[in-house]
Amino acid sequence: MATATTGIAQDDPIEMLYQRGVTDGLPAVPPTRERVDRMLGSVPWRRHDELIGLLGPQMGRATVEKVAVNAVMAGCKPEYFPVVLAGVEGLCDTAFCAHGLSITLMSGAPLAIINGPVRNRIGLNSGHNALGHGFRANATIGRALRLVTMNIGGARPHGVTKATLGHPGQYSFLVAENEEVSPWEPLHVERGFRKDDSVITLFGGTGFFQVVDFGSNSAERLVSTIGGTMGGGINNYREYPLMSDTVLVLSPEHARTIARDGWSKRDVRNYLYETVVRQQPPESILGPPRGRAAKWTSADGAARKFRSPDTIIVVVAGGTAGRLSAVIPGWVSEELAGSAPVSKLIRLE
Amino acid sequence: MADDILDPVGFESEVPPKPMAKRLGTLGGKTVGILDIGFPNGAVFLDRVEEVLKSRYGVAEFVRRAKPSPARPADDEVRKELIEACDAIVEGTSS
Repeated sequence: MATATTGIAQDDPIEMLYQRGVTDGLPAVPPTRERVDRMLGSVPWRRHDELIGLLGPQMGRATVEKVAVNAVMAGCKPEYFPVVLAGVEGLCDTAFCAHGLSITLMSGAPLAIINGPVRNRIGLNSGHNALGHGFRANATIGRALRLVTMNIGGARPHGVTKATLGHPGQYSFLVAENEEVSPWEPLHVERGFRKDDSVITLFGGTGFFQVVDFGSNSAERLVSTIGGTMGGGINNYREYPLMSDTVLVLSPEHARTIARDGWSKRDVRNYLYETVVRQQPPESILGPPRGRAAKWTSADGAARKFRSPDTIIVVVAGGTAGRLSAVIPGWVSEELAGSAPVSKLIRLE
Repeated sequence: MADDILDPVGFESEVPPKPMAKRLGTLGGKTVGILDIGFPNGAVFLDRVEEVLKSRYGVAEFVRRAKPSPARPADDEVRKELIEACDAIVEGTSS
C-alpha cells in the first residue's frame, strides 16, 4: 500500500513539516516521492510494505517505506539506509525496550554503536570528534532513529513523552568504533559476529562523563582513574550496585596505555568490577542497604558498583591525540526488566 | 512545487473516541483489581488503598497483580484477567 500523502499545501514544505509536528526541532528534508524512492532503491531486496515491527509507545507500524520517509527527512543518503533499517530492527526488538526508554522521566536516548566495513564504506567518522558533530553519516543516521521514534513510535515531547530533562543525544547519539586504531577486537566480534560483518548495537544511554587522565602511564593507574569516575556520581550516587549497564568509550591513547601492559577489554571490565567497591560505613546517613542493594552487599558491608563485568561495554573511538575517555551510563537494565543492549546485522547487499 | 510530500507518521494520531466504562453505582460487594506497576514502596500505598476500600466502601474482594516492571506494560494474560474478574481497577503508584 502506498504511503499516504499529507494533502497539505506544498509552497513551503519545510514549514509544513514543522506545522505537522514531525520534526525534532531542526528543519527536515521534505520527503518527496522521488527522494523516498531513491532511498528505497538502496535496498532492492526489501519489499516496501514489509513490516519490520511495531514500535512503542504508540505501537506504530515500522514498514520499510515509512522508515525511508523518516530517513529522507533526517538527511540520510540512500547508502546509509541499510544501517537505519538495522537500527529500527533494534528499536522494535522488545529486549531493547525502546517503549520504556521513550516514556521514561529519566534522560536517555538510544546510543547506536556501529562496527564493521560499513563504517568506511559510507564515511562514518570514528576519529576525532567521534561523539560529536560534523559528519553526515553520523549525524543523519542517529537523527533518522530519533525521527522514527517520534513519528512511528509516537514518542513526542509534551505528548506521551514527558521526560523531565530529555537528552541532547535525542538529536543524534551515535559512535562508530575506531577498529583500525584499537589494539583489541571490536565490540561486534566480542558479541559473536564475524569481523567483516557490519553491525549496529543499540544501548539505552544516559549521561556523558568525561574522564581526563593525562598522567597515568600504566593500565592499573589509568583504569583506576576511570573506575574512580564510575564509582562516583554517575546516575544515582547512592546506587551500589548500578542497576543499569555502562558503556566505556576509550580514546586510542588510553587504549594504547592499557594494552601496552598486556590488558584486554575483558581485563579492563574485570578490574573495574573488582575494584569499584564502596564500603558501607556502619553508621551511615544512607541507612543499611535495603531491597536490591542488600542482595549485592557482602556481610562486611562492601558493595560493588557493577553487578558483573558483563554490565560494562568497552569500545575504542576518537582521535589519536588526547588522553580522555568517556563513560556513558545506561538507563534501567534488563536486570530490572528494562533495556538490554541489542546488536543487529546490517545487510549491505 | 508539485511534488507530493509523503507522510512520516506511522501510528494513529487520531484516536477514535472510546466510550467511558459504565460507572458503578456503589463499591459495596464489588471486586476491585489492584495493579502494582512496580515502583519501590508502591505496595505499601496499595495495601492501604485496599484497607480503605474494604473498611470504608465495603469492597468484597481484591485481585492483586503486578506489571513486570515500571518500564514494561502488563502481560496480556494479566490484563485479560483483571478485565474479566473485576468491576473496577486501581493502578499505581508513581515513583
